[in-house]
Amino acid sequence: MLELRLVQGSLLKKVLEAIKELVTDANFDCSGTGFSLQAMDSSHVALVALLLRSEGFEHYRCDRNLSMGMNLGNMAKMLRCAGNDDIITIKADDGSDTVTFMFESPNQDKIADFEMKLMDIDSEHLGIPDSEYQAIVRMPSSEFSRICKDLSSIGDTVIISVTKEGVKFSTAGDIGTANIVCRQNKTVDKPEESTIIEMQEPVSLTFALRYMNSFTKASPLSDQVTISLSSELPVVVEYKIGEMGYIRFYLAPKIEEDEEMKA
Amino acid sequence: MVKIVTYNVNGLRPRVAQHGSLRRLLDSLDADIICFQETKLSRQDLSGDVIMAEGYEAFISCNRTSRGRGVYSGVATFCRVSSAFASQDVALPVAAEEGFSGLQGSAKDNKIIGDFVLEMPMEEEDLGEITREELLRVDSEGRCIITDHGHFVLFNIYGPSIGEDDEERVRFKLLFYKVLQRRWEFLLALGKRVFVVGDLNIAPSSIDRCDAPPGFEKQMFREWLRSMLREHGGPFFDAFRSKHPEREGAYTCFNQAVGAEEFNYGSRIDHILVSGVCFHHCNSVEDHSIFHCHVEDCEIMNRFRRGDPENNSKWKGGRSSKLEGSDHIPVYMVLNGIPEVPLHNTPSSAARYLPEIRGRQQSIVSFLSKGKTYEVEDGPGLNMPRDRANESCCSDDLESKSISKEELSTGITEFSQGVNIPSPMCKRRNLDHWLNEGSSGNSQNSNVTLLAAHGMKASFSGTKSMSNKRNKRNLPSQPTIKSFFQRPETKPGDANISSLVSSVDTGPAMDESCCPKDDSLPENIQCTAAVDEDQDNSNMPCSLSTDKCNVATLEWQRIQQRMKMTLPVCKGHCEPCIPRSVKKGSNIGRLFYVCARAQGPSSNPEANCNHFQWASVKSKGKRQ
Repeated sequence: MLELRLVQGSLLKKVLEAIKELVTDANFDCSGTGFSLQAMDSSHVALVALLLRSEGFEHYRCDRNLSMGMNLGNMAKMLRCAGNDDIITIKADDGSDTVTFMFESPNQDKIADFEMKLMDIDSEHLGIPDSEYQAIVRMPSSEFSRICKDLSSIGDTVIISVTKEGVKFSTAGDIGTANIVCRQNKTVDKPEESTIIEMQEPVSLTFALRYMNSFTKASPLSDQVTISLSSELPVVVEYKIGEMGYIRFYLAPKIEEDEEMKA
Repeated sequence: MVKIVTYNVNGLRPRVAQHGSLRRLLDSLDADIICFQETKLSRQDLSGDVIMAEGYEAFISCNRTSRGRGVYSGVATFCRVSSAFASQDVALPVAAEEGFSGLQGSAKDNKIIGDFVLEMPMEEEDLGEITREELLRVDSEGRCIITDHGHFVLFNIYGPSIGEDDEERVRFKLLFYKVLQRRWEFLLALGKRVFVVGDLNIAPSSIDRCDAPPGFEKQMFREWLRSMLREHGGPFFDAFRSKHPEREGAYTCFNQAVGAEEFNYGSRIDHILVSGVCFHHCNSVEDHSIFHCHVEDCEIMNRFRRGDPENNSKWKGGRSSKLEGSDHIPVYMVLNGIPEVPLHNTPSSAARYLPEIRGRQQSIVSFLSKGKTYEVEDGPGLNMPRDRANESCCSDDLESKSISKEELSTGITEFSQGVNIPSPMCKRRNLDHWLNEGSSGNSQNSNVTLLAAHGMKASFSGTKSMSNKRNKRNLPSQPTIKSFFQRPETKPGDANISSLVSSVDTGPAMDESCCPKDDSLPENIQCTAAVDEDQDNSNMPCSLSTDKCNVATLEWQRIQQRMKMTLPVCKGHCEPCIPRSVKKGSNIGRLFYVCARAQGPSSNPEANCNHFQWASVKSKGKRQ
């Protein structure tokens, strides 16, 4: 028996909008600690990790660990039927082949039940290691989103370079080149507008803008985005989900074609 | 000697950008008459930089219908001239006409070549009655420009490309060619020589298509085109095929969507057709004709083929690279013994007289050199890009100085640290690293400085190196998140290749990891020794010099390996597939995996193996 009641139902709606473009089908895992998801995109290049801790739910009952395969497009369709202020409850019986989403309007005058078929999805859980990064950039998520969108109208890839001075996003394409530098800025009145750079070593990595752009679909979840870079590790683009969890996107850097040709 | 080139440019603006300027594009084709198709120019946003080039006169036709919002089809003929006025050049036409129906010349001054008049409404076999409106619609998509060069009339044609089951467009295409045929026959009856060049979107015979299916030649349009040829009783010589009757694998068009260049999986749909008598005064003899007596050569210009033929980069499902250039290859024909024509001027239908060009090109230059109209119009087209280049030089130059300084210093420190390490391998890597940094971070700027050094006369080689560099920068390959790291531990058989790849892939990462702080050196050596079993991979990342980091890196390598292994492999090559999703129909949105290789002839095992499999997802309800 599973019953998860989320007062701020809009969070779940935003989570689905954030990942449905990248991942078509995925298993949601429920355990005593929380509601989580780990999935690859269809070309197995990027990885998404979502965590909603049990404490964040108003009511959290999960009798035993349960993995529910869902088509994220279909799930998003159902969640779009929930109002932004609605309370969302996820319910499933053990061994059932369906999951139920219940939407309650804030004043309890409307209650909707949506039942969705579950899927069988082969997937294996990958233990993502904790690691230290050469550079961590925190910046307004809207700013990051805008930068990725702007650069993708010029080129296919973005080079993210972090130095003491700031973080530089650059691209090149048929029509020309673009460079955007964001400087460290801690002095703003609103903390959500700050740009903070923690750097151990300068780092410069190249990424496919296609993926970066789909990561930024998570911007409505959080005012700030955290980008963690290391030359040996995939970049982590993290959006906090209130106090209750996070959504993290992992993407391996691109390498120059030349290197591969030598092989 | 007169050289004629036909080239489906697949967008004139991108080709101009690719070559640096229109003038360079035209010069690289080195011909007297250059016929472009699919210019994708709309009348509204014509500008000098894509139409006007010094030493060439342009004649253009743009799509006038709403199809493709104007940015669709379009043909342009460029004629190399020594002077726009009072010329005896054969290349400079004495008259030009947009469209083939003779209906477009509503303006009185537009001379209709050969005074061609169609009785409207007309009847045509298989097509029934054709109204003036319908014909005008067929003739308004910017698919034909006719230039009369005195000794011959040249048709620059972009034939419609249609889906076999689209009845409306099939009728469109049929009408297009049937009326064209009438025009050709009309001119031939007047004793004119007729040249037809362009992308006809018809491969006449099986030999002109890789892996032509049975019944290929039975298709209506292919039958029609063959019926136009001399071998089948028609008036025309297919110049290429008549010169090279046996040549196989000669193709001019390659499907972008399947990486067709890689295995020469193409078709020959760009043609040069010639018809008419020769210039000798003995027309009685049978084997005298413009083709036999004056066509010296006709060839496909393979050097314009996309991609690097020597070092063909793998297509990989189109993920790894966008090839630069058109999906077509130009075709040229050389004529000799064509006499000069009487003194004549540029016809009034030339692009230079279009209000879109003339009106917009009023610049200060036109006030400075009054009287020399042709220079006036050519001026802005040439000068503007230069100015722009200069501007960007200045600003970028400043930046490049500051950046290179900084990078230089970091590079040097890293390098000097590298020297401290007593391993020659590390030294070399550091050097590489330094070079890499320099070239990847700074290649743009260095290019610009290069340009600046060349000054106004930025030489062709300069631009070429720029486009090459840019290419490389555009083409970093996307490793699946796993290949980024580790050699595979399992399945030695099919993992061999990827281990090779991945060890090299790790290159840049290794580079940086090889410059640890001095004090951490012994520790690093220990840890790498512990980590590596037998490979000379003595460059395990350890720059952060914490065990935790090493663990994380190794763990990520394992994860990425797993991610790669879970990608389906194709049955033909046991290589990872690429994902696609269904675009229409009842299965819309459903994910499937296909072979990542480029399409090629079925006889070639290296080409796409047609592997297909659905992504393994089942509805739980169905299972029960």
